[in-house]
Amino acid sequence: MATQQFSLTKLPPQKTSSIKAVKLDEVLEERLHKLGFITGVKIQFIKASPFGSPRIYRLLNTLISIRDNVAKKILVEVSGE
Amino acid sequence: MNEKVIEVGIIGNPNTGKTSLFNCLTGAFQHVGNWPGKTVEKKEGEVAWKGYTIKFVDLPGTYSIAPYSEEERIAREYVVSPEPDLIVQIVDVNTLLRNLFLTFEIASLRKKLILAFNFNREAKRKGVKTKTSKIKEKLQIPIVEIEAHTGEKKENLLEAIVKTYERKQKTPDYIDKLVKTKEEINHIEARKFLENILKDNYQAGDGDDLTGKIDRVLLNQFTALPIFFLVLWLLFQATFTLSTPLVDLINNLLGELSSIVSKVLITLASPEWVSSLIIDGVIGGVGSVLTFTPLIFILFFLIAILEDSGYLARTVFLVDKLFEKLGLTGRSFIPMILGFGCNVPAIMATRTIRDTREKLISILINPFMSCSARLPVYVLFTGVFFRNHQGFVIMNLYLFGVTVAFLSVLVLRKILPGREEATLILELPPYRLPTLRNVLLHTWSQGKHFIQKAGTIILIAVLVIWFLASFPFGVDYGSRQSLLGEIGQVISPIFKPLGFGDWTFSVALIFGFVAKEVVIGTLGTLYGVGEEGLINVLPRVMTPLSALSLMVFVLLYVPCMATVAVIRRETNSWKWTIFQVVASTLIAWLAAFAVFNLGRILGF
Repeated sequence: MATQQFSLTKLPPQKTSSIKAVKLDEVLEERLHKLGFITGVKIQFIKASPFGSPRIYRLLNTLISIRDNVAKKILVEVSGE
Repeated sequence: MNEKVIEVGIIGNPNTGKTSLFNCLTGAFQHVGNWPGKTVEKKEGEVAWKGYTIKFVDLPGTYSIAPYSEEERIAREYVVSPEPDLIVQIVDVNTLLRNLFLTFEIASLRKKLILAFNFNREAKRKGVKTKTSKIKEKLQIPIVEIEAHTGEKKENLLEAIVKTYERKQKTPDYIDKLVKTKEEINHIEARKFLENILKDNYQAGDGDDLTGKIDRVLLNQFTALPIFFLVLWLLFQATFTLSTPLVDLINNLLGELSSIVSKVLITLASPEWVSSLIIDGVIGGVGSVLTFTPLIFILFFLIAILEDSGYLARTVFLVDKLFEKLGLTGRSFIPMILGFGCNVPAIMATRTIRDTREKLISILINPFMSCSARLPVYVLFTGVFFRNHQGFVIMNLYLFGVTVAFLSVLVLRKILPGREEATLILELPPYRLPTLRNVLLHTWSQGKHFIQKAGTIILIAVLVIWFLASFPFGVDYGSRQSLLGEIGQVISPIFKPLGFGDWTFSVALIFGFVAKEVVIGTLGTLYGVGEEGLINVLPRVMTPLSALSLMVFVLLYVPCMATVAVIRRETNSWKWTIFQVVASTLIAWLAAFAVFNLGRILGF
């Protein structure tokens, strides 16, 4: 079982991954924590806006939209088969 | 009124039905205002229950009370203050885990707390299984299940409030383990703790099928934007077209009233200035306030539907990219577009912007979006001076306004206090059917508030203008001999470098503060020719270039008094209101100066 790590923006649609690390300035990181962007939380990419960014993700049973420049700094992990 | 008052703060994440809960508890007896010195709205209401008066305070929807944003600071200050006897947190059981982070923050402040679990029926339908009593036991916090949309089981909550008020409540023993600092909880620990509790007592649904299906159309790569622009067009049309017959009706009724009153005053042989005060001043002033109300009621009715259904958040998502470069988010879009209709409801619509800095910027720049009252001015002057290029000139005036608005955003971002808050973090709530009661209550409270707060300012402004135009009593209204005429003559040299130094323009521009289209009527009266006769008079007193300069000035200078009144009301600050008025007039002068003098250099 190999695991792959990449930034949240590279996550393919509908594939479930789990959050590995959030690397942003403290204020932004804290805001994201409150919405569930916490290490270990399962996250899915749902849809991008017609202009590419922002994108919508599903986590903790909610849909959250963040811009790519923020999502880029969130590391996720997908376990391969 | 009962002697014993229990004050209850209602808190909760956005989209959890907090407003519905507040509405079903307090009914129509709400007081809407602002938090002291803040732009954030504060709602209060009361209900009598079992010998108590329970007073509810609706706190801003927030994910946290660690004080980063203004909403969070307000919520936190209120929770820690001695004012609330207890806090009710409304919780969407569909997103239970995320909601409970806030619960821990409140509990760590040692405040009495009740959880109101909401959307239980919806959750059941989506396959969510909740063992509420087990969760209550583990969390050591009272939990009540309710349906805030319909108000079902609200008695249970009122009962719990009284019970909790009368008893001691122990702080849950696990809290200290989850607190990081005095203000924050450790989210990683909190999540572990919660997963442990919820493991056997809660089962999340398998995703929201319906929302996913609707989003496949409404957020589709190809159909999303066309649908959005259609919705926007409908919103615009409904607000500004549906309201027209109502506005006409109000004007007709006031016209009738004026003629009756004037007949009565004649039989009473009252002095002419008294008749004028009552008819032009008081009835005219009340009329100015009332003519805005259909717009505001219709717009807020529709915005409430968009918001409650879950679509408003999606429009923010769709156009966000266009605003990223400006340092704003997609939330600024709808108010900006509405500004082309009328800046008054447009500025009120900035209420949907959560970030206070972005909201302030959106309010301050909105008057540069050329509203429909300015159009008659453009039509008249372009009709006289740019007969063959009328559409082209008018279109460019609109574009010029937008350009000035965007440039102002860039400047304001530099000079406004506060942290640069440029990013979008947006929850897209599931689609839900709005309830008529919530939508109507929302519309009513906003409309009422406009009449009370903005209405007072508008009425005072009308009376001041009336006085200036009538004094000394006996002169013709707004004529050269009136106080306003005198002022016009004194300030007219200011406009000489802009190409319209005649005192009549100064007076017309002062009257334009009442409403921008009044500029035309005033000029017609002052030249003694009426509006139609202006076509012959204007070419004798100005050139095409000075007409262009005047139009640029009318586009940008001090917004009409109703707009100023809502700027005051929405910013909750005279400082920002005066800043807007002074800055926009200064910008107008500079822009008109540039147009006139560049034009002259180029030989026009």
